Amino acid sequence: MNDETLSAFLDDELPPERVAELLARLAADAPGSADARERLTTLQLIKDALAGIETPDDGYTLRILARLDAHRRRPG
Amino acid sequence: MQTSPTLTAKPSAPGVDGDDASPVPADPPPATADGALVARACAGESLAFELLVVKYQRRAAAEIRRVVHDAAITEELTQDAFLRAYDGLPELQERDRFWPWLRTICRNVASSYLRSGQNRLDDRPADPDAVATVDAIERAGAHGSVEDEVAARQLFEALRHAVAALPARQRDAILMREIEGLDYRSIAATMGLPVNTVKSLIFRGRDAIANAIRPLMQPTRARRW
Repeated sequence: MNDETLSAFLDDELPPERVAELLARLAADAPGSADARERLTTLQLIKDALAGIETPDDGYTLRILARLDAHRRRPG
Repeated sequence: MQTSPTLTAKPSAPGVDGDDASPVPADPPPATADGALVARACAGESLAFELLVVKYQRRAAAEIRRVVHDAAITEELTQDAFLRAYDGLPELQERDRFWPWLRTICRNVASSYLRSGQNRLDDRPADPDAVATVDAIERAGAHGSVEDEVAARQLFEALRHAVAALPARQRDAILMREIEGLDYRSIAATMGLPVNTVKSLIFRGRDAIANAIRPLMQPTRARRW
């Protein structure tokens, strides 16, 4: 899966049957996954900026995921 | 467990111990990548939901900020919205329409906040996870840091310059996608090009922009996914 495919995913143009491949590339233990995540987040930032949302990711995503993780772990 | 007020319940399984022995209808196969991510997230694949967060967090925050006009409260409410989405995901019937559903949750979360009359973050009920988050935001100086604001201005100025410097066909294809919201097929028809060429033009344009802004993003790499 190349970076053109990451771009297509963000545009809702990736066929659903290729999602498994996308997730495999982004999985934390996959080779080059940090690069793939950085590519994806940069492309998303560009997309959002061009759509008028000029917000850098200053930890926003990680804080959402940390809260989600705590939520999942909370009993009940 | 919170659920979205916009959800409709799935039909209960028939024929368990009654006369109706018809099989339980299976969920239709996803028609979009988002639908596939929702299905996988429902099956317990956490990375699938993470990817939906990465894709939609800015749009979600923008929806909320339009209503509450405060960066710190927007961030906490954005987190609330994703938590509600996570909890409500198994009940989402139209899995291919994740974003419209999330957008409605965002609007409801923001409206509820305003209706509650809790116009100060300090007055909100103490959710320990949310309080920890706000503490982390304040420690990181994520809102109102002069350095961060200057860096953000430079980043988006560089981005705009990079867009202006693109070859015309790349820029046209990207702007048709982002400003006009056209899909690849419509852009291809407008430009008189094959769909795969449009896909490539858009990617190459974004790649050039990414290369231009990469040095400005490097210092904050550790803060991103």
